[in-house]
Amino acid sequence: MALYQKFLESVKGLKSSLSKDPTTMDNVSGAIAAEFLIFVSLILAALFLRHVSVVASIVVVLLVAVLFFTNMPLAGKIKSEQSDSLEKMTFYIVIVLGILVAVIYWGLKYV
Amino acid sequence: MNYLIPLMVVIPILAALIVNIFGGKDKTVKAISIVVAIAIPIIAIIAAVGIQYFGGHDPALLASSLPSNLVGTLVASYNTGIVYVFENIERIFIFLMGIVAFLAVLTYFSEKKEVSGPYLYLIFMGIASVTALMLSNDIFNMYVFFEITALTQVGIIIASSTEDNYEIALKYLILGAIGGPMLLLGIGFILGTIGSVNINDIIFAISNNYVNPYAPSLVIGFALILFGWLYSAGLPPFHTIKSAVYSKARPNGSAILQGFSVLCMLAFGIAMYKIFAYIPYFNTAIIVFAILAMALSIAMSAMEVDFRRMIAFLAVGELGFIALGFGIGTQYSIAAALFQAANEIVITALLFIGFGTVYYLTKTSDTRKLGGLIAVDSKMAIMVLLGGFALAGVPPFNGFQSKLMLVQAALDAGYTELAILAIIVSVVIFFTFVKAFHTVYLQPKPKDLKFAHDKIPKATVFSVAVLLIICLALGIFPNIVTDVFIPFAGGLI
Repeated sequence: MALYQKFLESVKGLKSSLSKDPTTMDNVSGAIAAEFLIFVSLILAALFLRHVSVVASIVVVLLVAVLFFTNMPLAGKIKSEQSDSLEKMTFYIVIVLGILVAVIYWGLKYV
Repeated sequence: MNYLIPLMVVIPILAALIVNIFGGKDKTVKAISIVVAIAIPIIAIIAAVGIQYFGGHDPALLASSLPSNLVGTLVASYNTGIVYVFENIERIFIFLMGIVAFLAVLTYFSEKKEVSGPYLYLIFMGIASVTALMLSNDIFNMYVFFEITALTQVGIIIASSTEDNYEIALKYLILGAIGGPMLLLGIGFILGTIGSVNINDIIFAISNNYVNPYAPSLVIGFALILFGWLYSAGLPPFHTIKSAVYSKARPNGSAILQGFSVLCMLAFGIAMYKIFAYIPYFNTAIIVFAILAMALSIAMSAMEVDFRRMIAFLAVGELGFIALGFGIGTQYSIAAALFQAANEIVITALLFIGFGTVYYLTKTSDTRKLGGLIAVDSKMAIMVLLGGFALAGVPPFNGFQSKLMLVQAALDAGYTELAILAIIVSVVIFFTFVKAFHTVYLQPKPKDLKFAHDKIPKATVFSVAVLLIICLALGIFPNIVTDVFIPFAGGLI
């Protein structure tokens, strides 16, 4: 009986561990939607650059295509980079501040 | 003198102090809070359009008493005191914020028997700050009130007593220690170059070539103020912390917090547009952040399993639509952005309070542990579903009208790719919302799901119903607000 109880508990443990598996229909559909959205947004953002420079737009579209096909799926990677980690948030904030100031301050000299 | 203009700021500040003093006396605090929360939107409606010169510093009156050596100089035209400008656009936004605050306070009272004086203090102080932010025509004064708003946001999270709220509040403070000072530094550069922080004075000095419009100090000032604007609104790279902030407050607190963010974004966005729109690629810079906000936030919301965080990401993603309208930069697109902002204040509040009832009933926001809640209150479920439709832009709700305006404006301006992006993002918002709705309300109820409360308070149902009626009214009669927004946008460009 003790052996049966032990077996039953192990099955229950297995079942509970499986139920924690995040790979559900909802999660997969959400991840696929996110992946498509990121891909489409990147391509459209690259195409938007045609208003600034057509050459830059072509180069960025090609870069985005290469980036996407060599790194897909991107959604999971982007999600891990957008966690609530203070280090990651601070990193991206400082990076954006640096880029913004550099591009606007020095970039305008060449306009 | 139109005393109702300063009273829109003074009354909530006084209410904040009084409810804090009377903290513990629940009936008194509730009575004061309800009266003030009703008074704020009423004052916004009845106040006449006008300008308030604090200290009586009307430059037209002072001009005659100036020393002869100052007559005709740039300084002679400067405003020497703080100026509040109240027009119909401010009326609409202060009214909507007041309505949301009133309904959020009502929901708070219905869901919590023992009310917290400090929590209400923070809510009223925040309302006073964002009202002042909308009214002020002085960028330093705007900064001061923005910092008070940011602190009240932190306070509201701490006072919410939810899981990990202290950690998120601390992170927001730390990141704010980067964003806030940069904004102040940008304002400092403008002050150093022009000698005034009044928006009209700055525009006058730049447009009449009293200063070089491309002076390095002005350009760097623009870059820093743009960065501060991203922080105030919660646009990337601040979208992660902003969504965390929304998801860690009580649902009624989140409804107010998102309203604060929208008003901060609008106030600084309009100021920035008035001052810096002449800078090359100004619109492009804003569009880049709008695309990032829409793509990153909505993609994150699609993958989220915590419904409070999901709505928080959707709220931040919707800010991207507002930024997109500003970035396209035509009269119609800016009017669409303003309309979208008005809609977001109402719709997101509806979703936070409506979906908040799920948290109230079950004390969990993990969609994997939820299901079958349509059986508990089907009316609330349907209202939440309709709120989600409004968010995604389904007719006949207000979200449809503003997004249609935005898409039309993008096409008219030649930005076809932005119009396509706006439509695709709306589709993903619809998908995300329907997925969450199905999981929470329609799928079979898990056996181990326990309820903390049996039913939803009537006041909460009333609040959601009122917000839904506003959504429907603005969807069927959009000209109530667009008749104000379109001429205002015309004056801005």
